[in-house]
Amino acid sequence: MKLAQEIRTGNVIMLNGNPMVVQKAEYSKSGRNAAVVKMKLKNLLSNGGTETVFRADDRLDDVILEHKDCTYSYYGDPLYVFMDEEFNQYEIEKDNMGDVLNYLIDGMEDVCQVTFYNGKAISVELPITIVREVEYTEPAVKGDTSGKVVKPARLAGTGYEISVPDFVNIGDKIEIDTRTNEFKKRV
Amino acid sequence: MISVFCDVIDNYGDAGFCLRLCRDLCNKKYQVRFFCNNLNTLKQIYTKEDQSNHLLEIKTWPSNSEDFTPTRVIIQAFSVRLPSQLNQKIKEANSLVINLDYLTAEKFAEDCHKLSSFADRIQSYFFFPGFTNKTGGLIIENNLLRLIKEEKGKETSKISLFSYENERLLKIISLLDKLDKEFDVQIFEGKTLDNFNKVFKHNLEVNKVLKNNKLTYKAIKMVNQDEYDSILLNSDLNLVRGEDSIVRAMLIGKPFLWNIYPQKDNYHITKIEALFDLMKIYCTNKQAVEKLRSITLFYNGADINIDQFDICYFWKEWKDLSKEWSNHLISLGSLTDNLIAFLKEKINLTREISH
Repeated sequence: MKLAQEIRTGNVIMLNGNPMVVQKAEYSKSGRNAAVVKMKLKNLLSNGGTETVFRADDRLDDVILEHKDCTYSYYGDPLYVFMDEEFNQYEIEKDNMGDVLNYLIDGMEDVCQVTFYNGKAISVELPITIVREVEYTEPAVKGDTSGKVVKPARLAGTGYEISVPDFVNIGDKIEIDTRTNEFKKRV
Repeated sequence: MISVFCDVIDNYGDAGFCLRLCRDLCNKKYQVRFFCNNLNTLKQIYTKEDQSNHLLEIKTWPSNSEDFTPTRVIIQAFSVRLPSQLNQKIKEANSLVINLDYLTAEKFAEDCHKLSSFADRIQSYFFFPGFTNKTGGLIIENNLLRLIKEEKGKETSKISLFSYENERLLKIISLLDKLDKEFDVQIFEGKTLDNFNKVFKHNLEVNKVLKNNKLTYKAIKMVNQDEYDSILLNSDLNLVRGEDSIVRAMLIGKPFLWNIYPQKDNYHITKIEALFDLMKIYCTNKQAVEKLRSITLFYNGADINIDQFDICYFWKEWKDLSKEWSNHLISLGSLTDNLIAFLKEKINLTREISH
């Protein structure tokens, strides 16, 4: 059992007897320090999609699945291809890629975890921290090194924007927490 | 029959919101069983009419499953989680379960409104109050609408004060003291009066009066919901706290200032910003929205300077803005009607739960 707030894109949960792969999970604080998690789910048996909401502290049955460490290989429209250490290739549908697409770049060496259900690759997870280059951000305000002032920064390769401290510059390589999309540090 | 479960965490807002909902469902001729786990709090705000309402049954939460018979509809107010033994009976009875969540102006309320859920082995639906027609709206009783119509525009030279512990009150009051009008400030006993006395280093007691410059302060006893609404209606400005009171103050269409329920990591600031982002969409005077945003953020602890705030100039804008926002909220229809319509989508409500 996992709390709804611990469920990430790519996890599979059993919902009313159906294995559902989580394609998207959005956590929102509601009131009184409570929270809800909206999930986009796909039924692995029927391929039907649905959207649903949970309290953040709802306990969900997560399915224990087979995982393999893989690296991103290439995009073969419409599938993303990953490869394991033994050069076996696994194809994952775009809909099952979730937020991974925000950080997926050609030639990346990050070791990802591909998840299998009944032998089929159904999703992929990035490592918790990754390093990406800032392609564009506004110039820093001179003197501010506190990290409290934030600004948007566009990442090279995907164009995805995250918030970074004001001292980050174009061309900087930054470490990002892929669970929260938060800047961690400049490397 | 509809059951409403309320878990009173603190203060009056939990019970207050639920009581209004139950009462309004009864007004629409539905039988309601209101399970409240803190009847002492409830007793402070309910009226004689509530006690004699033959459609409203007020009970404490069942201590075991034998004391509980599930009704056709179960409303879990503020998405409260019920004990597993009650859930088991609800599942067996195939009740329609609604997670009536917290009020927020954030976008996710629209995104999650009316979506299904499946937890504790029970299917349920989330229903979000809100400020747009993509949410469930706010509770607006017909009686309140009538009173608003009667009172709109009447000036009374009164201010109501209902707050949490908040040291920023000192500066807000000194700002109000700059208005070119004398006001009576009615301060509710309890946390509000304690905070007032702490901040101003006074020792004001209930039914006692204190005058300082243009403001005369009077501490008053806690009142029931009808009396509270009446005080809001009869004030030119309402300083309110929490969820239930801000909703009433906004609907009434008089100037309001919100002391929001504080959350961890200052998340309440995000909630305030979301509200004013929405107001900016629906109200014509965007600058007035920004001014109200700034004093509200200040009042709730944000790092904002209001030393140069021109309250006299803003006063007229504040009144117009409040009326316009009230008109927008009223145009969304009542949460109660929107909820009933949703229940009817899911079951043949008229036949199955009415009487």
